[in-house]
Amino acid sequence: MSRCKEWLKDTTNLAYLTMIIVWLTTIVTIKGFARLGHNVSTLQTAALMGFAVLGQAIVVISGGIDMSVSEIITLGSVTCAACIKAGMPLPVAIVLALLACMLVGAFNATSIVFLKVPPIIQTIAAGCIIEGTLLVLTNGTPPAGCGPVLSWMSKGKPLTVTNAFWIWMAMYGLLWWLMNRSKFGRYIYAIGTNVNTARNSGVHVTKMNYMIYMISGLCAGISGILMLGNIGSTYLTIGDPYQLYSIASVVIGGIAITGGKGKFSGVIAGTILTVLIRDILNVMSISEAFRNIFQGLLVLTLLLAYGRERKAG
Amino acid sequence: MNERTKAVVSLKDRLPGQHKKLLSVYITFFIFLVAELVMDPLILKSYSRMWPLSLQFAPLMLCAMSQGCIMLVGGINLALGASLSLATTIAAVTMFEGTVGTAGGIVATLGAGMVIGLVMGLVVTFGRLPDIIVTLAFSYIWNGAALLVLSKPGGHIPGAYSKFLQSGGGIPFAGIIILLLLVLWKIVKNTRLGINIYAIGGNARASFESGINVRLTKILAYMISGLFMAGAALVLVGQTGCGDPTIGNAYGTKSIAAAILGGYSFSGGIGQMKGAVLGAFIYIAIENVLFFSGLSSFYQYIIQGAILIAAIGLKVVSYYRGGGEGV
Amino acid sequence: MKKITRKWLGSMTALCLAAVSLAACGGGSSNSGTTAAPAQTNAATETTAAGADAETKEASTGKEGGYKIGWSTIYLTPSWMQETSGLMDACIEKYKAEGVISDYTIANADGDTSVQISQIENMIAEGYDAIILDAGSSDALNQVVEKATSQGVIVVNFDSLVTTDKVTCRIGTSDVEYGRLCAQWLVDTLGGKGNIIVFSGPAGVAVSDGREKGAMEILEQNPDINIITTLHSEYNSAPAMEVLNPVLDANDVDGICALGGSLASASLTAVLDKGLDMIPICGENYNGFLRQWSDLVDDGFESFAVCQPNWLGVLAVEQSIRILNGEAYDQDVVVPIPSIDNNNLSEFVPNDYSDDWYPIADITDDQIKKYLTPGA
Repeated sequence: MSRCKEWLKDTTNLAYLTMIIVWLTTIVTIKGFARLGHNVSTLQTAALMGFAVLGQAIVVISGGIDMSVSEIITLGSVTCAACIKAGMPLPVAIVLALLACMLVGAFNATSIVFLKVPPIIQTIAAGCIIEGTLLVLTNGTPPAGCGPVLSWMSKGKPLTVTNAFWIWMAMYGLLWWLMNRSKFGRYIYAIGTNVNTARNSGVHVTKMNYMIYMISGLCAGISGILMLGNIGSTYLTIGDPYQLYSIASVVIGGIAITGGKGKFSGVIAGTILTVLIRDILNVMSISEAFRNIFQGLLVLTLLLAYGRERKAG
Repeated sequence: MNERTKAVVSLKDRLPGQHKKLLSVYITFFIFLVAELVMDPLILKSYSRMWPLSLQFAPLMLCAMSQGCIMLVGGINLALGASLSLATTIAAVTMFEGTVGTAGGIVATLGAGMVIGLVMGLVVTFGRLPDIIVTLAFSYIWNGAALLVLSKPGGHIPGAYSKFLQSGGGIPFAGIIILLLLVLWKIVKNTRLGINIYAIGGNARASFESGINVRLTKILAYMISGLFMAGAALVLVGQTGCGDPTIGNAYGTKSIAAAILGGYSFSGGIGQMKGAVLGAFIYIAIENVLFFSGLSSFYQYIIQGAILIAAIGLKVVSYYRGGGEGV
Repeated sequence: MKKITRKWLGSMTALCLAAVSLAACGGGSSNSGTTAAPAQTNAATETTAAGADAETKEASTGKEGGYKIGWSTIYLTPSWMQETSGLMDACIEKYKAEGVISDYTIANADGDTSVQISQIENMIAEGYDAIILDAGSSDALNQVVEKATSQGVIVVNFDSLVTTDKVTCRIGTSDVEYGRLCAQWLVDTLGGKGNIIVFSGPAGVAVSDGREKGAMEILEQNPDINIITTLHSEYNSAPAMEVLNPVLDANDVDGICALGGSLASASLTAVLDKGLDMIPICGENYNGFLRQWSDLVDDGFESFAVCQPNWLGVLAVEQSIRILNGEAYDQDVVVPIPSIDNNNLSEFVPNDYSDDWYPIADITDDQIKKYLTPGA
């Protein structure tokens, strides 16, 4: 019995438990939710958003936060579309888009490390700059370039579930290994717990920051590119809703927003739960006002259930 | 010396240097003040230009002060924009014609602001949850509430009220409100409450151990923040003449940027209200200067972002300890 | 040493950025068709028009050197806006060549109503003759519009309309009528009964609110039509699909009353992707949607699209010139909503434009005269 209690104390386990309970409830009570097709599309939505959540989780565990996720998603998406439109082959377009996103990550890291700008402000500012740059470069008109290959990469279903989902799982696996089996993961948790202690015990904080923010940029970029493939076109505000969702998913997944704590595996549960909540609210025949209110209340409830800080005050 | 005296004394050590810390803010403010004066075609010629200008700056200044309150206690308010929208809708449905009607609406809105702050403060303190995620969740709730009050822009703001704010008997009324609030804040800052607010932001644990009621202080800080936010809403409805359930959205991130530009620190405990006011001024002056220069408004974002980073790089060096950690 | 260098670097950067914005004074960018209004020379002419707060400017027939016109728009980046802007630019260029217009500026508030208010204030300060307006809020701009007109500035409002009666002229279609037409077609096609979804634009905005109101008016008159739910989404296909998918999965839907172009496109894509039977979906003249529609015509797909004509902006430009020249005009110009159904679809597709385009027949000079001449 006490093992049960121990298991329940782990926030990640709670997150998975909640996810399963909610999912089971929906397939039993809502017509059509038990169908395979529906679940595949839920996983697709989760996957598209999920890359950004992976990146955000790493940043949050390191004690920072990335508020430029929405703009990097847009950057990746728009750059890829523009390159394809300019006639470049798809692999080149993807690489260029990802490089642009990682460059932003590097920019964030530079500012955070050398100018000591707090991550939240640096990333807000970077997001601002990206938004402005994209507006200027595209003159407000989103470029139109996609193509059947990219479409397939995103929503093709050679194995029942979409490709984007498999790519997400692969990326998750890679990053899980990084966070849990490599020394880098230990460093990231250390930085998140206390930067000075980490530095004093030999962690190369500068190098790690670059790694952290560039991975976040890369992940957000992948999100954007696959979103392009999913709908066949892009627009300059495509990433906007995912800023808040990425943070919410990380926290709902049981990862502490203050950093240094939380199992990386929580991201999957967090992302899927966020999507499930949104789906449930949309299916309910309630006004948009109440959808918003319930969404906020649900997030709060989940947080109160397992997101609390242990310290007093 | 006991713990409490030590905590209080170390705080007072910070005070004399307050102007020095704001030096970079003053410089940036001065640059943009000059730019604004040079480029705005009417400002030096026509006194009446002050009124629309003060109405343009005032809401963000008040929002920056609101955000600043929360940052002082070590938090951040992501629900500012949504609560601002909600407050404008409340103002638009509680204000009626006539002095009593208008005053009633003002009181109702200010009260609503305090309640909004109270609710969030309670959840943060008693729920032991980080501010950022609580306010994130609340932004959805306040958005929904605003839609409940007004499903689209509307409601009614008495004409006399708007007119007064826009051309109030010869003085830029909005500017006066802000000056008054700054004076009030200066008084509050030197009371037990004010000192406590700065203390818990700087180091919550030490403050707790020195006997400060951290929970109460934090909740009060949230309520004061809500008051400032309601003030911003009252000025905003004077400018727009209606309530609008989506008008506040842009103010969220802007208020954070303005507070940071004005010298607030994320770790809490550092920042001054006049800094928030100056920071907001700089932020909006950028918009104006760009407009008058004929440069495409698209560049505005790039410049605002760059200035934010530059301004931080400047000031963070002088007093930020422990570098780049945490939210 | 390091500290001083960093501090110096930071202040230099801030100074440079400020200098850049000051230096951009004479430069300006041609990005959005903006002509840089050289602040200095205007300031000189403004001193002669002194005491701008007291004096009202009179509409004159023609003006020495041409009129100074500004377009204040709440958004510039969505494709509908870009298309509208292009049409307006062409019209403006024509008048510039004739010397009728001397300056034209586009002020883009990028979604922020407060910024739009400031931009209009700034335009009043800079002494614009006419402001063309696409409003971010039906009510919030009333005060600043009234201020403009009381100071003699002509304000011609199109597309997204303000509610004040002091605006010089309003040109638009009726959002409520848009909703009614869509809903009526759907009701007729379904024979008056079935389960439908009402798919509306973002909540809290007058445009989507108006369309929804019009649609509900018609739908409520038909008791055998059951509204499963009313969904809201940004006018973009990606969020629209995310919102719609679970609802399609959970219900048997007989028809979708989509009150926006990308909403219709998203609905059609979602239905196709799920392999569901074809159902009636009404929409807008969004090219992506029209293309999907024409691909499915042979499969028996029927639809109906309304159009928010982009040439409303052109009408606004023409009207402002007319008013400035002292010609007679109606304060409210309501333009009938053009529509597309299976019969005239072929007039609009195929075409060479991107999916993000709104094919519409060009407006002729005769039509301009017809709409803008009072009593016609």
